[in-house]
Amino acid sequence: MEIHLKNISPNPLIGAFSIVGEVWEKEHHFKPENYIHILAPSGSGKSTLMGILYGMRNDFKGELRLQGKSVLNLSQEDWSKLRSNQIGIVFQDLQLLDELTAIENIQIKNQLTNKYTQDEIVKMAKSLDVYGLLNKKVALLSRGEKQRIAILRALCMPFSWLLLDEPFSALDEVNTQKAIALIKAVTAENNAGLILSNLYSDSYFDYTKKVRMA
Amino acid sequence: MKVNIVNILLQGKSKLGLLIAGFGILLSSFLIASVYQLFNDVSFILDKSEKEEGFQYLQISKEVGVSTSLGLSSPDFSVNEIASLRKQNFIEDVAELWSNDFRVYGRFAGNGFDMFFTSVKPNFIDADTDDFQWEKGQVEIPVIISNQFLTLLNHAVLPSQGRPPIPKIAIKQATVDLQLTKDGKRLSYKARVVGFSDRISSVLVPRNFLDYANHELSGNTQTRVSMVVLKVKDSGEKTLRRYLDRNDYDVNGEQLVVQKSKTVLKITLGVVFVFGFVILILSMALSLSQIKALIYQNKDRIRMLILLGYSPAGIIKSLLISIAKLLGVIILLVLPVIWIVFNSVHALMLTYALGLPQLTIGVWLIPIGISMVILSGIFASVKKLIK
Repeated sequence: MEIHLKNISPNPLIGAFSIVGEVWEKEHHFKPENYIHILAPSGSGKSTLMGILYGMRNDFKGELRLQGKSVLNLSQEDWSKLRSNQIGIVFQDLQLLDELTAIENIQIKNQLTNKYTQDEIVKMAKSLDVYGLLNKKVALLSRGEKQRIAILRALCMPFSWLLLDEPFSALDEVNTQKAIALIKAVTAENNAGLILSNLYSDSYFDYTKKVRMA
Repeated sequence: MKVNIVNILLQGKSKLGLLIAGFGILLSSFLIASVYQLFNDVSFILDKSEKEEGFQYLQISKEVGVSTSLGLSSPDFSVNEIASLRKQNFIEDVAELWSNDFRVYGRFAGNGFDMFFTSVKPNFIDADTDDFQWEKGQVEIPVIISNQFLTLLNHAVLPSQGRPPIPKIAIKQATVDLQLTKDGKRLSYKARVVGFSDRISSVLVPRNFLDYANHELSGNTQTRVSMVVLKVKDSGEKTLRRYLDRNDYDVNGEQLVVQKSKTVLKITLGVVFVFGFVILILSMALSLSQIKALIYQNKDRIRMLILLGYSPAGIIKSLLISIAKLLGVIILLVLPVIWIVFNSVHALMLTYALGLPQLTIGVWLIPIGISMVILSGIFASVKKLIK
């Protein structure tokens, strides 16, 4: 699925700062299986961009096309299909349900498509060192543990794009590497691309394209 | 492992309101379905005599007082009195019950008894009149007797003599030897029962036979009218009752009791229906407000589910399936209770020989219909909120 951004600028940001950088009001074609790195300082609108790409916001000017189709023509049901079968995401604020256990949070996503069996999820959890946490309520987990559960959840679906909004911000180097390895494996398995936004330049993946927001 | 998204929405929320609403729906469904069935039962028992839709029949006679006994006034209806009855706008039709003016003595199975005959115009007879024909020279007279007589015979007379009751079909096969006499004149006939009437408490014979016998035995050309049958819209109407009282007309007591009982029962059932309906409306309002509150309280969770890829329609569907299951449980509880209650009521009715009305399909459809209405209301409300 190709992502085409053309002259996008979010309404709330218009006039708030002088539009600079390589994203807003510019044109980009993100080809399938591309690895895109969005380098964005705090406040430059990277979460806004992720929100626009994920259909959470439509308060923008310009044109966003997914597989040639303008998102303005997408219904709620269309977005539901995209979010369950095409576009995965790790939110910056994780969006986990604190009252549920870690495995329930993962299964909520997985059961939409039954992408993985329980054993396969356990195997992935082991690879991120969170197997022992699966039956714990998310409210009791640390930020780093929650982040790994959110990554696992995002991978439990078939996708052609994976959006990662500061996905390793609370992870140490060892756990970051484990998460990167799993994401690479699952993304390759899906023949998918990814868009990672970060505050700083990194070399987590072999990026096809690096874009600065400011 | 399957995570039920409705459980997520209900997690940590008080279910008391939903339980109260469910109980209210259960109670109101039972009450409304019961009123419907009881109304049918009441109609079945009390409206049996009202064969003609929307009309009731009153059999009236003149009140017998001292002056009547002394022969100062006639117990029969005059032509003017009948004409006056016909003029009243609350009376749809009037039929004279013409009487015999001679003695009727019957013999059956070795027993002798006095009888009487009356005639009425055919459109007032609530029995098959195909065989109710007589021609001059015919020895066998067709008669139609009141069902009340049969009940008395089978439940009072015959048991007291240690005899078994006689079914209708056997009565229709038997003939009664008749001796009609007056002033030394005598006519012999046989009588055969050809029908039974709920409406007219008498022994009916064809009019041409009664006129012939009266003429032959009494020499009367004018057959006297001892009673009158009135066809009315509403036998409980005040103007009709006042008119009958003013003219000292007696009405068949049972018919008035029946009318009063019917009115009281229908009013009672009406009150129970209104009560059930109010509970239903309140329960529906409560269940809707509970569902709305549930959605407001879970606004963030619902948003998160939508962001994960759940469709609003899918969330609504899951919610409705859960509510439908709850309503299904309510229906499964209501229907057997209704079945048990009404089978007991009907068994009681059989004990009192009131007949056995069937459980009507409406009784089963009412709780299901109520559930469908509630489900539709919730669907519309939830759809609007989630959008």
